[in-house]
Amino acid sequence: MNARAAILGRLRTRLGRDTASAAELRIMEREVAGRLEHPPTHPVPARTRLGDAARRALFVRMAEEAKASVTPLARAAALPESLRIFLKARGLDGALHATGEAGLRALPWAAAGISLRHGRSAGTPASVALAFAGIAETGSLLFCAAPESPMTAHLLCDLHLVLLPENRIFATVEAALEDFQKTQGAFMPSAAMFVTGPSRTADIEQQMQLGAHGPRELHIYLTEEGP
Amino acid sequence: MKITSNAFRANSRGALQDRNLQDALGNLKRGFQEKRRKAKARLPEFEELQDHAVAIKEHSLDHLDFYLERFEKEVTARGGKVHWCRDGAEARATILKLCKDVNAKRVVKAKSMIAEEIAINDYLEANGIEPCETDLGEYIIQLRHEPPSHIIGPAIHLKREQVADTFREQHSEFPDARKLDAARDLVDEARHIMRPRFLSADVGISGANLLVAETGSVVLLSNEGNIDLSRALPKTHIVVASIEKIVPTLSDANVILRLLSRSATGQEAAAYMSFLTGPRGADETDGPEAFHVLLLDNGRSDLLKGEFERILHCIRCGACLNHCPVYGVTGGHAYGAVYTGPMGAVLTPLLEGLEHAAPLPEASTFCGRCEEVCPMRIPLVGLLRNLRVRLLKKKPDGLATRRRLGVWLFFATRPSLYHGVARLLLRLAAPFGRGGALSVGPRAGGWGRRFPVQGGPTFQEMWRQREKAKRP
Repeated sequence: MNARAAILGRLRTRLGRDTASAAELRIMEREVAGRLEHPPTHPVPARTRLGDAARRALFVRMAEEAKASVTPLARAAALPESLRIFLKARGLDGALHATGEAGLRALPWAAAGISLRHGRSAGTPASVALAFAGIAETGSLLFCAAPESPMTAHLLCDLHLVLLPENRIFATVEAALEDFQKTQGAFMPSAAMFVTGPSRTADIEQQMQLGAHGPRELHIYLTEEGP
Repeated sequence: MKITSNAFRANSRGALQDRNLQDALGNLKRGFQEKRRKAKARLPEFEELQDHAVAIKEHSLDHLDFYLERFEKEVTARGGKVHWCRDGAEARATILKLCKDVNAKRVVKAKSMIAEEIAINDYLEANGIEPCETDLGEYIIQLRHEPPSHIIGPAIHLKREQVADTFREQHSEFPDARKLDAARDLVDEARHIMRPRFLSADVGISGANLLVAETGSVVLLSNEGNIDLSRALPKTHIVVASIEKIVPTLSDANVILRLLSRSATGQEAAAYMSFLTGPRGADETDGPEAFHVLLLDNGRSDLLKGEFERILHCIRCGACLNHCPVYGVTGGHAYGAVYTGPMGAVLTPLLEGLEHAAPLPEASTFCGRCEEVCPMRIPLVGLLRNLRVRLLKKKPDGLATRRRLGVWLFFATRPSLYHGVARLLLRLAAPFGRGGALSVGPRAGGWGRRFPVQGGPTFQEMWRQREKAKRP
């Protein structure tokens, strides 16, 4: 007997499927299918049930608590100039690794003297990305794998710079995933990664150190408008 | 790993003498306990979520056959492959074959308790494949050839200086005189060493925090980013998960996820939480080209519908370890097994056989803190007690012990007789006591007990008198 049949057989014996009638099994299958279709309503933290402004404020508070910085921008078009100043202050040249979303590419990068590199990141000092969503409950960013949005862009650079439009802040993980499924047609991306602050470890004497294997810093640029 | 749980008593005596270990364990209270308490206090819905989480697990286990098949169907539909493995040997052979099929030389590994359970590292190494642990704690203990001592912090038993010594000994490519005093230096050195390994690995191996039947997704949490790097860079990703990790839907998963990080590290959310579904999509530039999920039984199906089923609710947060007074002084290694602390004292005898882990169910004061902090409300004390009952039935002197307990039971269930006899015995024993107390049992090592034998009234008598005095 192969392992699959053996394991399922053992489970069915333990669960009493072999003594259940065909009708009973059909009822059970229908119940399970029904539950998959309409899962029970689970509690969602009350602190996430907020209006737009309060939800934005919660996102900022939680992101900062997770050691990310949040910079408000009136317009997405102001991002390149803001990053030019940031890079200069860090002594970096004007090259950034970037995800390839049209909205991000269309910003006035050349005017700010910044050149973008796309594709799989090779670990340049800084990367800029457009987040799919923000999560107010935890201050997290959601990145969904796509041809123009490789996951390595969020993992290999020391400085992780992220553009997030305010109207993309959702209350919870559930709400953001639901939005993905509604707007992108696909049920789940190959990777949906929720990022909360820079990478970290407390494996040595339980002392928190930022910058373990992923980014050392996470800077979020929150725009009121666009892209 | 080869388990040495039967040496628990000797191991724990050694642990108590180990200054470094005792210092390191002192961090448990300041760290994990305090952070968990604060995180729970910030989420008023915590207990309500616990009720839902328990119900989700019960339902999932009751329909494990249905949901595992659904999970397999969804993974397959997304271009991944599910491999069913009865035991560790089948899982090891499956992983080795998958590695050989792609001519893998180097494997990067994200921390996984199941990978420890099946001891995959030694097996890969013996077959010419280099397994690199990437989680910092797990990497440190790999260098030191030690098993993890804690689910969440595998190297929690070590002090900074010990890690520095290990790095100096093993990282010969760095100058001897380099500074390694601070945790920061050690983290940076490990990061520097690991980066090229991520970039050159052929296969990434990870565990799974949860499996979602509805979508065929694998949920993984990490703080370092090492899991996502282990997935995004190599061409093959192998997930090894035990069958009880399954939940029906994404909404069910989120209930458990809200409890997990808070119970484990006291974080509102881990730095990275990923839902991984199938291999990379068409035209995606990173992510694995091949996505494999191993579903491992290894004794779990035998626990279904039995008196120990509730241990299958465990989500491996480590809260019971962090709050256990026994674990708090012995550390994890004394348990001589992969799973340690209260949950390990239940699971190890069940997976490995009671005869190989007989002292573990005894390694508890039954104080019940483990149950209080368990996010899944697992009745750990009750499960340990059930194991003790089994143990007693098996012991060579079990019959004699049970007879003695039978005598005690006779008195204990007749309170007035019990108190009368106790009063009499205490008064008779009074002349033999020293300093108003009588030592019973061996005095060496502090295992004996001292009973007060003052010859005066017993507690019960004093209590009755006090209550009488209160009445008008």
